[in-house]
Amino acid sequence: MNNDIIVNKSEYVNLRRSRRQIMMFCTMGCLLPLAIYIGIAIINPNLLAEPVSAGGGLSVGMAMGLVVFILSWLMTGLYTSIANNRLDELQSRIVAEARS
Amino acid sequence: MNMGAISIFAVFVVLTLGITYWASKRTRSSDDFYTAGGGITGGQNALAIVGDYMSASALLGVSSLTFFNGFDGLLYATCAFMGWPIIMFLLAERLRNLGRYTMSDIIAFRLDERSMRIFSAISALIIVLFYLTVQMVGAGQLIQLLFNVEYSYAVCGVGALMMVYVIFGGMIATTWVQIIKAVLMIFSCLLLSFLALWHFSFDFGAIVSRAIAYHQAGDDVVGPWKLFSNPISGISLALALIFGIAGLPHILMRFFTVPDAKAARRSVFIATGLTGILFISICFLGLAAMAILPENPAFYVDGRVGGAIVGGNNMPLMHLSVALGGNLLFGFLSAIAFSTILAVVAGLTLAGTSAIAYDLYATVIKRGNVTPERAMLVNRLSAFAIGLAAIILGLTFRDQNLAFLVALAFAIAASANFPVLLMVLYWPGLTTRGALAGGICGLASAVALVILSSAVWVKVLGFEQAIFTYDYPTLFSMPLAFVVAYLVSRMDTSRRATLDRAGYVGQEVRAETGIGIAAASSH
Repeated sequence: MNNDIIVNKSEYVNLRRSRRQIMMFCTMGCLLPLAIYIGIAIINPNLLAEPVSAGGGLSVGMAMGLVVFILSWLMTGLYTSIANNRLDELQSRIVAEARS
Repeated sequence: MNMGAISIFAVFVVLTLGITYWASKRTRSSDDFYTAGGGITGGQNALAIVGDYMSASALLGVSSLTFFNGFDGLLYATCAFMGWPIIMFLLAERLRNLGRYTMSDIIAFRLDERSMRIFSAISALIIVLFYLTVQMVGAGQLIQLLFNVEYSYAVCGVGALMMVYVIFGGMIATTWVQIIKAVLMIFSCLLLSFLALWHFSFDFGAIVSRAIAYHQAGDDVVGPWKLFSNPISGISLALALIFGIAGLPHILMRFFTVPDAKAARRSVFIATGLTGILFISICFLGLAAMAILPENPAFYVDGRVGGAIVGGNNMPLMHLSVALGGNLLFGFLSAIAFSTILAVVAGLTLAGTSAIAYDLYATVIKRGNVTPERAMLVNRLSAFAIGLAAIILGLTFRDQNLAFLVALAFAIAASANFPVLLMVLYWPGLTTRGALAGGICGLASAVALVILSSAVWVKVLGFEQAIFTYDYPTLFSMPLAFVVAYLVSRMDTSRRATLDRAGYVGQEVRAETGIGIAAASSH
């Protein structure tokens, strides 16, 4: 099947749009928290040095760092699960039609 | 001489050489040599990615950064970690669907094949050689220190081993060396973290307060200190770390070893989790070293606690292992540091080899008309040449502080490869001229700014004052590459430009659906 025909199929338009959306969402979901984290480190470093609770040892900066790590990893999990289920299904439908 | 270290290391060498022998029987074609025939599973590839990326400088360097500068270590690690999600969302699947052996495959997919391959192979070779030089010098110093072996023997030994892995075992052997190393590294970091916590009866607060009490900067070490004290330099470094990974040829190459896009995704998902756990535990170990090393003056030069560390700045983690587990643990960790270096240099050598033998020789010079036997011969000869170059560079730059070369390799990757890769995938308007102009500007400005910065201009060339006053170039060189690539593409009215733009649709269909891949996936 010709590329031009595939490009105009609703499944393809749908796949392309869905992937762009989830891609942008996840990328921003990782970069924005990191940018905020770095922004605070530059603008108000003392805030990050504050302890979360007295005597616990954990500083606000350490806690935020952990949150950034975990959040980004969850984003990769979210992307994987959406891609494996929704996007791959759309994709295999397009491939099947292209073969027939 | 530490018998524990030597025996553990001997086991590692014998095991990896055994694997190389096994792999050599399965390495018959260029497919096997560069991608292990695409037969690596997502989980295996995840471990190999971790083994490829987490170098000795991540293990020893980040723990040492934390030891000396406290919280800065965690900030650095967070940025170094963030490259993985970015690779996942923007590149991994597309690389798998569009490429065969190298990132040049993707860049040259719709642009002019010869010029783009030459550009991308040269940029890959520069990155690989800079990175290899640092690794070889680091390896020589470390082995001299840990095993008491003369520097030049150590460099030749590392070079010889990595050549054997790559020349005979290709990607299959390299992958398994990286997998074994990753497992050892994860195990040892978790074990050390557990022992450190146990040392303080699992009281995290006690570790932090002890670290603060011993450190010259006191309370300041639990917050940002030096890394972002100059915001421009700091942000520049962060950009290089985040986007540099997405332009490192030996990392991108790993995505061609899995069978399909699903496995590529799975491997980044697992690798991101493992890298995160490793970085967090490495930072924690740096903190633990702050709290534990000052207890024993023997770890400091002349016994002066708080002064210079015995064996140099990269040693806090090694000393921590002695403090927590005596000579046996020290030996174990030494062997792991050595295996870490081997795994990384093997990956780098393979990436450099693919740039010479596949991009330049087979595709550009021979235009694809190479018999499989001849291609394999050239692959092996190129691997030999890269290995030889690495040994010579390692011997030449003995005793020099080359930390700036790693920063430079990341800066070039982020300023030359990453912008071109991103634009070719997502902006239909990119043309060959635009990509070349942008990539070359990014590369040249990154190199020029590093030469003009104090790391080279003052510390190597001996001038009084740096012309470029920031430590890292990426904040300037990366946007420059994007802007130049955009403007030149916009103004490009050549016949080639029409072809370049028209090729986008086909590239996108294949990137999205995988239709047209030679080795069809299960769909």
